[in-house]
Amino acid sequence: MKTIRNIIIYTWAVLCMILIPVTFVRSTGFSEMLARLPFMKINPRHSGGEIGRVYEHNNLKITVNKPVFDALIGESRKGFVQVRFSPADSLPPFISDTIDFDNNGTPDLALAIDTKTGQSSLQPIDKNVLDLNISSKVKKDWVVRVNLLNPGRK
Amino acid sequence: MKTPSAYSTTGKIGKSVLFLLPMLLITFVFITGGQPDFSGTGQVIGFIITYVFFNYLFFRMLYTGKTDRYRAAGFIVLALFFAFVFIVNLVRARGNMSFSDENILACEIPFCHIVITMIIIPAALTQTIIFPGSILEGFAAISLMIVIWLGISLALGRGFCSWGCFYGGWDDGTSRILKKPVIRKFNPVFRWAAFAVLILVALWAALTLTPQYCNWLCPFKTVTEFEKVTSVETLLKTIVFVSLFAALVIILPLLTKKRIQCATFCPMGALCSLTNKINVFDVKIDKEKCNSCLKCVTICPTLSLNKEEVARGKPSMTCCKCGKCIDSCSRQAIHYHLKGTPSDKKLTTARMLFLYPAFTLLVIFTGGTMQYGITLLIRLFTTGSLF
Amino acid sequence: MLSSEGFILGLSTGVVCLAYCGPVLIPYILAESTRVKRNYLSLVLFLGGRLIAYLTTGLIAGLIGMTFFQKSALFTRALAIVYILLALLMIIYGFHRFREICLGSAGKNVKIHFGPDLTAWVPFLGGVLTGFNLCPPFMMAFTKAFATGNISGSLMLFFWFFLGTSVYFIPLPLIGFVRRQKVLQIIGKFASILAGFYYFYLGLIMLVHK
Repeated sequence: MKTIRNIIIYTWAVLCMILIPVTFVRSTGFSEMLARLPFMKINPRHSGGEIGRVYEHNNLKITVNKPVFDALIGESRKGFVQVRFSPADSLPPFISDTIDFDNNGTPDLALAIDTKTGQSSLQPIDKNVLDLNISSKVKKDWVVRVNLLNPGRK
Repeated sequence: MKTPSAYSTTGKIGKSVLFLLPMLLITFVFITGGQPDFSGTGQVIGFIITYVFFNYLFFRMLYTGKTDRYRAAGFIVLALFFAFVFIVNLVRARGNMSFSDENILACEIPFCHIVITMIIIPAALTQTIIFPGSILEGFAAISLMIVIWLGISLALGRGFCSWGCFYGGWDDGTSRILKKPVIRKFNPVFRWAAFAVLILVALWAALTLTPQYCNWLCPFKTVTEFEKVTSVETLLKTIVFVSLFAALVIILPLLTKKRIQCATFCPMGALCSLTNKINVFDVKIDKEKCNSCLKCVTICPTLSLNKEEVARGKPSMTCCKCGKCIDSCSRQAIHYHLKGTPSDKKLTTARMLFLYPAFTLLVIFTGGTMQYGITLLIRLFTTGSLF
Repeated sequence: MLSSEGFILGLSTGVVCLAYCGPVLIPYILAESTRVKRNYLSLVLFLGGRLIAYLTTGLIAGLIGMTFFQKSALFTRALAIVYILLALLMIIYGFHRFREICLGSAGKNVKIHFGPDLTAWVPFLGGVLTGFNLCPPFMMAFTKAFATGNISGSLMLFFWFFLGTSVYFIPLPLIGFVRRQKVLQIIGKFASILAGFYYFYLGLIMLVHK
């Protein structure tokens, strides 16, 4: 019994010895396996949310994401909506547009962005639109996040 | 009269060289990453220095029977070179050490292992990772860092904190500057403060779906990357983390000769302590040989020993297996040990079974970084520029 | 019906209440690390304190109106003071009878007289102060209660809302099933002190922020 126990323990120790180099040598394969698990996706609060709709306007491809109200459980009272302006070539010096993020046919907010200086202004139209969270160049695009009140949690 | 060494390699060149042979191959493979690049003089010099350095350290561990001082040399070098190379790469890519809204929006923030403590609860409840990073691509991708941490924890438990963590070398280094501590007594109960930090930080992050330890508290942003100061809030954050670095990583370790940040504040250290429970390696005190001088209690850098634990024959779960108590014991009563085996037999076997994976980990994390760092330094001295 | 509306509102939003109250209650339960029965008594004291805070807030709203609670400067300052009081409570509780920490000679000069046993007051006072925190679910219930137009209706809605949220607190005292561990007590004390510093910071920010 003692012998079997010792064999198990020493085998376990040797396996630990092998585990370190194997972890690093096979790290790409293991991380790809881990990445396939259902929880391995970035939370919408950090990724910006799912894409809602994409359309062309003023020579820009505009991607309006679905509003993000994710909380630990259920939804939070406040969230944001992300809008991405993607040029075909390079960003225009000024971007001025109205955005309808809830797809009801009426604009909810108006944005004015000076892409050279980064100065951005927000004109709320819908009563649930609060203020500007982030407005920044991201690679070739310009991304804006606007804070919202959750209409379902008022 | 000197106590004869417990290890069969101590004082024996032949046996030490024999045990060194596998490490000669391991260090070569992992320093070069399996793809040796000796295209430039800098690379060659960098490789030679790194290769000789690590094999010398391992040989000395075998020949002298001492672990901690040689481990610490590699560990401190890891911290310094990691910070150096990281900062150089940041400056090269962005022009400065700060990250901006663009990096956050693009999910380009490198994922460090400490974030793991904050993603567990949200991952369980929301099935998502609350970090603006990349799952698979880029430097320090989330999936890769989780796999690496899991593998290391299964193999070494909290040994990660003394053989792999690229931050720990900072307070390990500053704790060794003074010969004697200015603050002689530091209550071991403070080791449990890190668990309180873990609980609070995990809850705070879960509730806000934001890694708040990174956002507000992590002292090591001082030597890696941090949010650009653009508002009162970001200025406050900068003051907080710089102050914590100064207090927990420089001043208190200097005065107490303890790894204060690692022992009392790091939430990852607390989480790794839990992995010690399932790890096969631990540190054992032979109660027959121990004379209760309590030198190990005084010397333990992570406050993992107190009088009761010495009497019980083993340190607390917070032991990070650095080997300092083992080296300090004049009765050679403390050793690396395999759980479930007798504590006074096969000491060399137990030590070697631990040292091989632990030192390999140190080489893996440090080797490539050190070689590249030396190459950069040579470039700096010869051309006047790092880029 | 107001009772079912209040209860369902409490059930649907109560986890947020737990989140707001958790940092106060969890360190306390860990630090006391006592039997389940005793933990439930502490929970009753905590919830009682919370209820008193809610009803007091309701009364104030009834007397001086909703506008006080709609981000007025006075309200923000009042909330800041509540946070600071809560912080002091948690820090004092954290250090109280924490024999393992040596505060040196300074500690010997600090005498705190809260009666024969400070620890009995902590859950009640903690409940009162967290109740005044006015978490988002409470504000929602408050708005609905105010809309009923009469005191008895709003009290009824409030009471049932309070019961709905309290359901989530029921499992907490079961920590007592864990074998009484000195380590858990120490961790709870540290968590109380750290959470206290966090609430102090929140209160300070609210006081200085315009």
